[in-house]
Amino acid sequence: MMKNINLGRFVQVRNLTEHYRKSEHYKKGEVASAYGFLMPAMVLAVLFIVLPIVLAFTYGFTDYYLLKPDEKQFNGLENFKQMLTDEVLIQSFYNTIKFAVLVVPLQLSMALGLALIANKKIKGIGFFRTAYFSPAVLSLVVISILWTVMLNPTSGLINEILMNLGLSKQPFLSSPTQAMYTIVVISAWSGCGYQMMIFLAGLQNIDSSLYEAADIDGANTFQKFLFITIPLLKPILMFLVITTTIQAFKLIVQPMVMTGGGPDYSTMTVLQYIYEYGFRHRNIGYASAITLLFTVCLIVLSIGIKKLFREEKAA
Amino acid sequence: MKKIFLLIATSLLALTLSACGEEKANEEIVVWTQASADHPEGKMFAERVKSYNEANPDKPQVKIENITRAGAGSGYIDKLNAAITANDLPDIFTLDGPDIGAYVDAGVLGELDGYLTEGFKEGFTEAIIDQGTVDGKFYGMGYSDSGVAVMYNEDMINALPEDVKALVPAVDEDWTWDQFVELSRKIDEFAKTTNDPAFENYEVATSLLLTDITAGAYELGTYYFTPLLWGNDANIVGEDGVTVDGVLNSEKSVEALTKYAQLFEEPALASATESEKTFHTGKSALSVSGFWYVSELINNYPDLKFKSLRYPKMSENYDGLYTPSGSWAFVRNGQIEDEERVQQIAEVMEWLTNDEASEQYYQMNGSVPTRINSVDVIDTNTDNPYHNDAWTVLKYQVEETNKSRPVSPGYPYLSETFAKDVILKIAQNKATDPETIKQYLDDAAKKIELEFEKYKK
Repeated sequence: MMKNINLGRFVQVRNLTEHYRKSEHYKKGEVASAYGFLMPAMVLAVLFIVLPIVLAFTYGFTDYYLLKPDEKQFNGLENFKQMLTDEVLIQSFYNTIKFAVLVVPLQLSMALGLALIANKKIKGIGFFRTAYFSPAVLSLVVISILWTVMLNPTSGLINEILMNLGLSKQPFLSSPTQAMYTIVVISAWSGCGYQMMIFLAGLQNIDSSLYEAADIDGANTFQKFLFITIPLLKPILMFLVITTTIQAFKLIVQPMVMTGGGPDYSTMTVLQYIYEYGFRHRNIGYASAITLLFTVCLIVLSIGIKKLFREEKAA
Repeated sequence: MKKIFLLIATSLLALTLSACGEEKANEEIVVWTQASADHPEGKMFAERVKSYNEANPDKPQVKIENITRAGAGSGYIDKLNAAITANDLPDIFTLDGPDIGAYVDAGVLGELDGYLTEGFKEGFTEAIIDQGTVDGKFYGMGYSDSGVAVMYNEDMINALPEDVKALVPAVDEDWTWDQFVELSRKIDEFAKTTNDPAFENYEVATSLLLTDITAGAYELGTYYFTPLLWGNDANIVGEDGVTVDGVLNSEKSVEALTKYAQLFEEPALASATESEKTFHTGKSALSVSGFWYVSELINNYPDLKFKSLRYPKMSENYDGLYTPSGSWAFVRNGQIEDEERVQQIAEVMEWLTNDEASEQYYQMNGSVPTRINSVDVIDTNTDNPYHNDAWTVLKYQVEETNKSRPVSPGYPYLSETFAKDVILKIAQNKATDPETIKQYLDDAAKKIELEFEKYKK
């Protein structure tokens, strides 16, 4: 009954909006005040979103050097040509993709696993929910510093534990082969708490009668998870895949704090490289060109995931 | 209607008043510094500016603005770069020594020759004059120098057998990198066999603070270890500031860095991933430390007994300058062309960096003096033997061996690539053979040459 009333209200509002949209009988004052209300947000959006994109687009085709802003000159596709031979940039793209491919499934699996545990009606579960969620409220810089100390190859806590277990010490962040995997695990750990809460909300919305029916039909726990939980969580799962993937491509804090992009550029990401080129080396032109390329890649990726999402939905 | 008129009239009046204020502000000489107001460095500038204003009430008054820097100078530098873009630079501002070349190349800084009192420039130490000079013209007046010494843990050294102890030079003795490596090796061998409590926390023979490079402070890597090349008659860039190939990857450079790499031969004597505060907490016997560690160790680690030694020379036969030096300097806005104004600015800069200021900065902040006449303010006869020892070494180096870092318009890139792709990489990969080291240097030179093409046009 409650749902019907809300639906009715929604239809009313929608019809009213449609009516106003189609009618051309706004009073001038109404139009002016509408724009007045929109203005602050529009100004901010233009200043901080549209303008930087436009500027990055234009600077990407110049030799803009930060200390010589008045001497920038159009240099055509020079910056883009440089990218083709820039080994560190190519490595940065590879690292960023590698990170996203690894962290998304790991982080979402951890989040779902924690959500399943946190959904149990057992004593003291509130404490565990808070504990699992707590990394999400910590600053990434703080988390990165803490893990750097814990992972220190000579005196870190993790290696002490490994030694006590009879295992050999590991270089972790100082090894070109281990550093990125280490960052993947830490990132997944720090990000999964927030996603756990979203999964938990989804789990709690699943009608318990579905599980009761499955019990009567003799389904085991795994079958219930596979045929009830997963399908009903699909919209949430897709939303989290999209947001986590895009977030993963924006990786910068952890490598910047923990490894500085090393060792041997094995953890250098595209965003960090853009920052380094733009502000440390003051080469805004080249940094803008990389930004442009990276933005295009992200847009294509977003469209791809969205399309996949639509196809899934249609199926 | 009346209200609208009143509103417009008030607004106009406010605008007029603020314009008047602007005009008045233009008379002031504005100084930007990277030190926060509550930091000892910020306080010493405030004190100095206050005394100038009191002594010169009839001249344009000086106003100081503190723009706190973050990490490797980022917050302050970002503001400076924004001001360049907006054409809104102050009259005087501080700049890190190695950055002067890039800002001169960009036409941001104004020359000082011709505006200074006769003999004033010559009052600075050689390294500070070199740091502030680009193409023979003087731009930067260093207010503080710096220095690096080798420190050792006295308890650990006392526990060593006599023959090893004999390898430790006296505080007033030169020594070579080979001797330094040999001492490190002997300490490490002893540490692995002893139960002496001084070695209870031992992890590594020498702390090199390479973790600073990993943490993004690339310049520290270059600052600490370029002198190894200097001491072998090599450098990271040519005299012109833009030629790298044939200089950075020269035979002399390979030779010096192969000796540096001896520290990473197994069993390693130093580590790219040493623990936090390795030397401070008795985890290493030796440390290559900046002068700022002296007060930190004395104030925060009172139980640590440390002694200091000169920075080791790479080649015994080298007789030029070679020890690390340089720090922040005052520079002037090159867009100001009014001769009278520039003269006033130069006068303020002299006040901020003269002998008296240099002594005051040492007393208030422990800043290494930049003036020849002020070096004697360094007190090496205090009640604290560790202070005396460290400052004896630093004082000697300021007077005799300090060398400024190279002047190059692309210094940040040069410094970062050398620190990351050579110094850190050798340590991380434990690359000790000359062929690999030559390869690292060739790769780094190629990268830097590509980046420096724009400066050669």
